[in-house]
Amino acid sequence: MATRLKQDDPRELALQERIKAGFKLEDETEMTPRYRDVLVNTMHIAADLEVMTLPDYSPAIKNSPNLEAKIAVASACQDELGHAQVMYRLLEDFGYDTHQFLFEREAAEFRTFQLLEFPHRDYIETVVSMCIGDRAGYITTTDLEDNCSFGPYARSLRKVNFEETFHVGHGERWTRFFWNQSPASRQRVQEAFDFYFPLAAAWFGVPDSMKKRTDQLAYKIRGASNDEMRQKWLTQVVPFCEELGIRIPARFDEETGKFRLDYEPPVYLDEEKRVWHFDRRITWEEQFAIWKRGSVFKVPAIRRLQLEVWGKELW
Amino acid sequence: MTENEKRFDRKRERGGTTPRYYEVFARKSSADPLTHVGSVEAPNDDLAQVRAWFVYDQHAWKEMCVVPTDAIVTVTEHGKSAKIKMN
Repeated sequence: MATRLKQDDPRELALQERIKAGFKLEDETEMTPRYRDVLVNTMHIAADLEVMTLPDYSPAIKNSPNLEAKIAVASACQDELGHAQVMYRLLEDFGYDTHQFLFEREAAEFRTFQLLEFPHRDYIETVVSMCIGDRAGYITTTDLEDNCSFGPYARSLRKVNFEETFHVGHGERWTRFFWNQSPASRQRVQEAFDFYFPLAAAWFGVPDSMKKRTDQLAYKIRGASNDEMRQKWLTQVVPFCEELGIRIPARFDEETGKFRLDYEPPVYLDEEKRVWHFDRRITWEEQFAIWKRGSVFKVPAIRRLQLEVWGKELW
Repeated sequence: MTENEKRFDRKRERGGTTPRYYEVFARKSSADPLTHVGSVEAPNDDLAQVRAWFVYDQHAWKEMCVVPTDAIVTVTEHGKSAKIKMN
């Protein structure tokens, strides 16, 4: 982009200084090109992630164990669609055409995270995903609500986060239920954690030590770093699992006084068998390539949304 | 195009090529102020009502209304579009 300013451009630095002093932007006219890029990019990914929950969660409407759960999951799907609407609406102020963006874009171009690229095979996988995956999403969106220097985005997330708490709560309640229901259901919960825990831990991205671009923090689009948000997530997830006895590859480290993973990412995931090989490290280049490629389910899931080939299958 | 493929009538759903926006206001109880809660895009008042109700259903509102964004006259923000956009 010809108009793009360098990060050390005086105008960029001046904006960063004002933001550091608590200045909130309300309108595009107040932005520098770089700020606009970082903000739009952040909202774009967040909107895509909201949409990507739909193919994941909608089968649970069908296989939920009782009417109350069915209503809760259907509401969760409606919530996620609403959240996407809120974010796409904001993006329209930056020149996006929601219809084009949602229905005419190549499915492979959706910016999704690996956590949302595997269909849930039963209700247990759905509630475990809500328990730890929606929680990861909630931590990123509450950070945006609390810190984002673009006022309209921060304000719009009040509703989003209010609703996300219900999803996390639903996931927690039903995870507890299935853990205590029978040895067979307990085993399924454990298997779901075995697969989904590392995916949810990866939600927050690369470790801070690897991060080259800190624009999001410099412009206070968000307030906490990847590792800080991951730590917050672990602070909630590890005690929950320890209380129930669910085994996860993470613990509290007495020496550092922080929670930590028992493995060093990135590690190899056998996507077909859904098994992690913690002793088989891969390079970050390989990990980025895997994230970029997406799982084999990603494109068909989005195509299904775009084509609306639900028909009789939905209910 | 397969038989099942989504058909989208841009004129009916979006009112043509230029989107039209509405701001959504609501209050939870008689004592609460009417507050800006969000914004929707809709080609007419009827669809704006439906979309506002569908998207902003986080509370059992006592009152909710929509206002075409271009009907809003800003007082403090001279020469700029309304900045209430969200909430």
